[in-house]
Amino acid sequence: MKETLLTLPTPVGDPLELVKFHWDGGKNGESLSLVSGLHGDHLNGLLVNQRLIRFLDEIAAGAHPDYQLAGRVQIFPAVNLHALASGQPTGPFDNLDMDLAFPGSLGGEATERIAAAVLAHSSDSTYGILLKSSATHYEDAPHVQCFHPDHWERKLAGHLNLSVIREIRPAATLRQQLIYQWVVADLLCYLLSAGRPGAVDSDMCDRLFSGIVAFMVKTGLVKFSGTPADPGKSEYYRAREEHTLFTAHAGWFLPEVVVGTGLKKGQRLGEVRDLFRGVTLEEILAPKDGMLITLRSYPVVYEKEPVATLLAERSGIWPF
Amino acid sequence: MQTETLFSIRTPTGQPLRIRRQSFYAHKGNPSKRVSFLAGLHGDELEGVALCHRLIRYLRGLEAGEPEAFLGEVHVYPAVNPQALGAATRLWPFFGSDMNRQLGEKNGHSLPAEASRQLQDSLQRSSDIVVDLHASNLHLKELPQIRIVEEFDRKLIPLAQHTGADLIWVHPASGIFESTFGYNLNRAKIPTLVVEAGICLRIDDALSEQMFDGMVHLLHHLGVLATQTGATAAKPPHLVHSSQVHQVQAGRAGLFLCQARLGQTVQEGDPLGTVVDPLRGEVAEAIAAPVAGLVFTLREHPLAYEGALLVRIAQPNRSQP
Repeated sequence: MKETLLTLPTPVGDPLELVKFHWDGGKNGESLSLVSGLHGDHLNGLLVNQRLIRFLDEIAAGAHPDYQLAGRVQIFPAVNLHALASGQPTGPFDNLDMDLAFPGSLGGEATERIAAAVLAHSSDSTYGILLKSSATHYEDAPHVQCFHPDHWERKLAGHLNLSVIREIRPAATLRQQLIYQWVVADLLCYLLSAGRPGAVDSDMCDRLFSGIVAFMVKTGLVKFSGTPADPGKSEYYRAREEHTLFTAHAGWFLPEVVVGTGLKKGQRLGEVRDLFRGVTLEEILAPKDGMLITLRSYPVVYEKEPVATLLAERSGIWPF
Repeated sequence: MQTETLFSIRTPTGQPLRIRRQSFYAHKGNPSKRVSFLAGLHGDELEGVALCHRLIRYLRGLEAGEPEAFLGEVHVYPAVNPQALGAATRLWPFFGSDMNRQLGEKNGHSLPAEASRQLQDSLQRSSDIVVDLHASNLHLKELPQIRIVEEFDRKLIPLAQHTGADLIWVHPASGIFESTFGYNLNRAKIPTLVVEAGICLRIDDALSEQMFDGMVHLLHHLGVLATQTGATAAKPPHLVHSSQVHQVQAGRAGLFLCQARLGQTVQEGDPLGTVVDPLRGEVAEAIAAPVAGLVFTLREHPLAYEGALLVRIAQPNRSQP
């Protein structure tokens, strides 16, 4: 069911409407909130939620007899309305980063009202999943991010069926982010990051979609009477096991690897060339064995810029 | 004056990108105090950059004609986000990063984060007091004011009294400040005054003059300068706490047609403006002052969504006129 949470009159046009979609299986008492579109150019999350809305509508209509709704699921597919409408990460009118606007204010400016409405409608959920892409100029392999997870949260993260679970160190700006507000509200929550801004990767979206469906089945929000697929294995990486690789020179970065692959110590990730002459200025090498989780996607680089993040020394293999 | 580079990297085209400061040292002996002025963290906030220009010009003249006047050190960082200033954008354009949201715990490895850390190190090493100069966004214009987070008020209010600002606003802490220069320098026990004045992308001569006089007065008050050249008295600002600050917001979306003036003292019920519906040709809302006081923030951008901030009014203390 589609529901309008907030109607925002505009100064000279039709109002903007913030909507959510929700389904109530009603039996198990637990609930999941899924949010995407905090930034207007994070499109993978939007596509995944679009597919989930269709799938859950079909379950509700009886089109998938093996599946049955048993809990409450709600999806907020497009939060930053102005940004999405303009194809930019932030809305052009105020340029406020929506994911630095939480907890928001119901009586505040438009961005604050949207943030407050999303939080008010999601903070009583049992679980929260936020879908994002990487930072500007980078690409992320699909992975789960969690903040100070306990044993149970780590274990449950494995049911999202993504191969990498990554512990994130809280930054000073974290308090203004939705995921932090969910942690404060005691949701069991995860951030799923995949791909890069302004682009859609169908394979990554498939993995996120099937992972979230598996999570809903595991948590009992959706009952499945068929044979579950092999979940594969997930590896958990602590924040201290991350290595950021920097350029020593400015120029043109040519990657030779793709995100989501395991690298060996000394393996070439790519090289930096002089922007004009094309002369190789440096090789970027893996400092140790690890999983390439983030890679520079925009080729023009400054001196001393990060070009890759490597997750090293996996500390545990799912199941823990 | 000594020009010093505190951060330098190569851009992709090979050009250097440098953050520089202009330093004026004590004529002899140890400095009485070391004061730094910081401007241009946001590239569209030009009031602070203009103020730094005036300060550098004044200090160069003083150094040439009256070098013994320098009892302390002054460091001026006039343009700390050069690419954003070159593009007149709030954020560092290539990275889309806010340079004043990069500090605090574990804020990543991006170039803006690294530049911010090095700038913070430089300020901490060479300052006893920092003045961090900002303008408002594109929507609002502000009277010169010093904004102070409550936990730092005991140290900062006595300094702010000598800045020539119209207002000192003491407000509660909020998470949004935890990654800023002002908050982190104050936490590091470097008293830092955060100044808001004017509106972005513009320079108001009168405000600029007022702030320049105030900052020169501050340098004299702190014993950094000992001269009568350029020294003026600064009137004490209104000191208000958040309970005395009344925000007037739009109840309807539309165009805000302003009737109030920045710096005006209004009485309760005085008209401040109207929000009009341009599609219907109707007045959607008449805006009146909810309290008597000083208009210190005024909306300049007419486009207003519901909830948009239109006016801030500071209610005077009972002891203030």
